[in-house]
Amino acid sequence: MKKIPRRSSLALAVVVAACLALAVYVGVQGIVAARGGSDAADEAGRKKAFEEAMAKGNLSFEEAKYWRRLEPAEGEEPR
Amino acid sequence: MTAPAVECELCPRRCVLANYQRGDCRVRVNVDGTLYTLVYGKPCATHVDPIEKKPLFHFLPGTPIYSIATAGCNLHCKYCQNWEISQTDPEDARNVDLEPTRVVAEAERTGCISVAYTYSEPMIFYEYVIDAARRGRERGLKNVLVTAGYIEPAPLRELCKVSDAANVDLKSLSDEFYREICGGRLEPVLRSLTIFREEGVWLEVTNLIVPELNDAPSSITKLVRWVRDNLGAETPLHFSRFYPMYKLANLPPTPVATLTMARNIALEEGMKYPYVGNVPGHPGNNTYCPGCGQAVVERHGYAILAYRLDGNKCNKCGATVAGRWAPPPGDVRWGS
Repeated sequence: MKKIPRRSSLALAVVVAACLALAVYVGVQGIVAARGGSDAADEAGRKKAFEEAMAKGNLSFEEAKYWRRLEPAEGEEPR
Repeated sequence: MTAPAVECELCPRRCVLANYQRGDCRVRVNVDGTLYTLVYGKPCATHVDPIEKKPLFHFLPGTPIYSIATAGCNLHCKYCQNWEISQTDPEDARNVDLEPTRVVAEAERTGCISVAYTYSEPMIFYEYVIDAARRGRERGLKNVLVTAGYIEPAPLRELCKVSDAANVDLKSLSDEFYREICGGRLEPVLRSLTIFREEGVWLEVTNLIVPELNDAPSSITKLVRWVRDNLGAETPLHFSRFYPMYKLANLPPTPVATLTMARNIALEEGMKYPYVGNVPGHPGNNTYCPGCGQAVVERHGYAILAYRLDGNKCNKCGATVAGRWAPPPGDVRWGS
């Protein structure tokens, strides 16, 4: 059997390690998203945009008519 | 933990909004589980117009009308004639502070006997309209809605209680047209039209005819028949000329012949008061007596040139002409 050169095996090890690291990163991101981490980030972005809009001083802020709150069911996270 | 989502129940979109998310209309936002409007008392357009510009031809003709609008809209018509304000966020518009009491005061100061909620879409600045209209009523002002009618029944019925007249833009009788060109649906608009009629609000209908999109004789006939059968043959029906605008700037203006054809179809189908709009000098600008055919109100565009009604009767044959004609029209040179 032909022996793999030492330099090539090192390169292969680096590629495998990088793939593993990427897989772990993607997995963690998925768990964070499933727990609402991404939603929280989205909300933070929306809040920032809203505060910037209000800071322009060109809007009012009155409670609207004809709406309802969507209360989450017991044990369910709010939407 | 994030705040609860809310569902806006004002219009048929029924937007479900996460915290700090805005509705499709751009002007209603969920903040910590409560829905707020961002445009109450913040119009981006205020103007005194001839009432014929709305267009309303059978309601207080010849009078000036104080007209206001805020930014935003819950439809997104590709040919919108006011897209600079309807398709923009309210914080990016040039707004002025005008609380409901000041709307009334400005209308009175400028000699208007009515207020129009118009230009963009009054249904999305609903709370502002309701409050200003109530205060106007207390001072004897009339309230006019110029709308696409894209609203849920309950808020519309409440609004009708303080509304005197409406011009509803019926864009087509095709649901596909509403979905593809306007980003909405047809059925809620038809429902709104019948509610206006049921609630006793004086109603006129506008159909903007766009070349290649809704100008087929069969499409126009279908629309005319629906109006006749559901709203009545005495409903004024305005066929309005399209000018290249917004995302349909590539289309030509509606040929005058197309508008004349539409009006003729309406006449053949038994409509009493079909009009041609956005074509000054067209015979279809005039109101004709349904009894003797006399031109009881002659117009050139928005200007009234001659007025031949006694109250609501033709001064030649005495036939009744549908409308809310009292008080007598103002300066007949208005708009000329």
